[in-house]
Amino acid sequence: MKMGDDFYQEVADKFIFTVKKGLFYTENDVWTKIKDGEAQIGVTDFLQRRSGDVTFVELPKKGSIIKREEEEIFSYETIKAIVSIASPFDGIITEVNTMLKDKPELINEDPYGEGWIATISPSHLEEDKRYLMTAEKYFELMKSKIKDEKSRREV
Amino acid sequence: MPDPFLIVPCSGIGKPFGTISREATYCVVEDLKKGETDTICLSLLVMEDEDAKLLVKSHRCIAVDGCPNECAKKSLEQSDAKLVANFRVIDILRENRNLKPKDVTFLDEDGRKIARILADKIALKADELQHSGAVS
Amino acid sequence: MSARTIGVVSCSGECCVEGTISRIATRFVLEKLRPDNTVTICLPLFSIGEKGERRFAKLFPTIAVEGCEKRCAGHAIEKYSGKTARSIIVSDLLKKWDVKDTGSRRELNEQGKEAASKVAEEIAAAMDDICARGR
Repeated sequence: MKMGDDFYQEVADKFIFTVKKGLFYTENDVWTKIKDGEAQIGVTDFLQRRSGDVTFVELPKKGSIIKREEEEIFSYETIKAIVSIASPFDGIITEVNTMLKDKPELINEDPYGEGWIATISPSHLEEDKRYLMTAEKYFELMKSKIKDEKSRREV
Repeated sequence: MPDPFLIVPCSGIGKPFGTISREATYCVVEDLKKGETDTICLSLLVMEDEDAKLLVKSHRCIAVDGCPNECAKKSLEQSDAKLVANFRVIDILRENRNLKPKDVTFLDEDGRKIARILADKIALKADELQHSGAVS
Repeated sequence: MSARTIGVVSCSGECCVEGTISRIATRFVLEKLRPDNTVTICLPLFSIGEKGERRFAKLFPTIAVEGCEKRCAGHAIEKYSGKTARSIIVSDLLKKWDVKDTGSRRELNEQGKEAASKVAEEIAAAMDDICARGR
């Protein structure tokens, strides 16, 4: 994962959590990159670190019609948890990262790059964008999640 | 006695994978391929211990890593070891979805099962390499 | 005593029972004795250059838990991050306590597990001392 000017970083103990600049985010730790009317999605560094080493993925189906935040379009399994991801948009899935079938660890190794999950063609892009937050806002949210987790551990 | 293989586990302390890699190594070295295999402390290579470096250069090494970080494999490569095979615990987990090892300090039942499956694979690989006369 | 985060790095010691005791003692500290202010540094990950592990060891005090006098954990930390705050050598402690039979490197017996618990107490005491003194 490239560091430096492209990322915001928060250090907690020995972990360096990153948020990639220029993307949009949901409060459920999904990032999206919007380009030419299409939206690529993936999970954030924070989520992949918290959930652990990915052992299995259930990829979405290309061509599926999906509704924003209503159903699971993707899930992955680690030894700690099963993580479900809902779509940030209404729309159709146009591409799926099939590399994840053989190399699910890409989600851990490069969550903002080669660990991308799917590309969506949103049917109400401008409307659904209202529910997204900027990288700066997500960075603040992530920091508060990290702080909450640390307080819970210390109780 | 044929030239022994060195089985080198990552022994990572943060996840069950490291403990499993260790147990699988012991299973091979002490049970399945006793007398035909041995192990070495990975940290001696990091310390650039001369004896350790000589050993891994002169013996066929099999890296047993826990996760995709592949610490054992990378450390062996950095020491110019004669690396002939590598295994990852996470790959065995992927082949055995029903097993979910959780404990790190002492292996639970699923952890021991995964370790045994991995040990069998390592032993089989050692046999294949021995019979094929691979680089020694 | 102020709670302060301290890195504990154990030797990975596959070859001898002292290595196993080091590892288990470190886990006991993390899981039971000082869960709120212990960070374990994974020696193999540290050795291949993991940024988070090396950065942490540079900025926070560390305790090396060594199986034997070769001191692999401490040497690795000193090579890449900086001097360790304390060093605990399991083989020395076992000699001091006159503990002879601890089981095998693969499986500790009851005496071995007790020894690991005692080593864990030593680590925790060292952590408390670091917190009390500031280093």
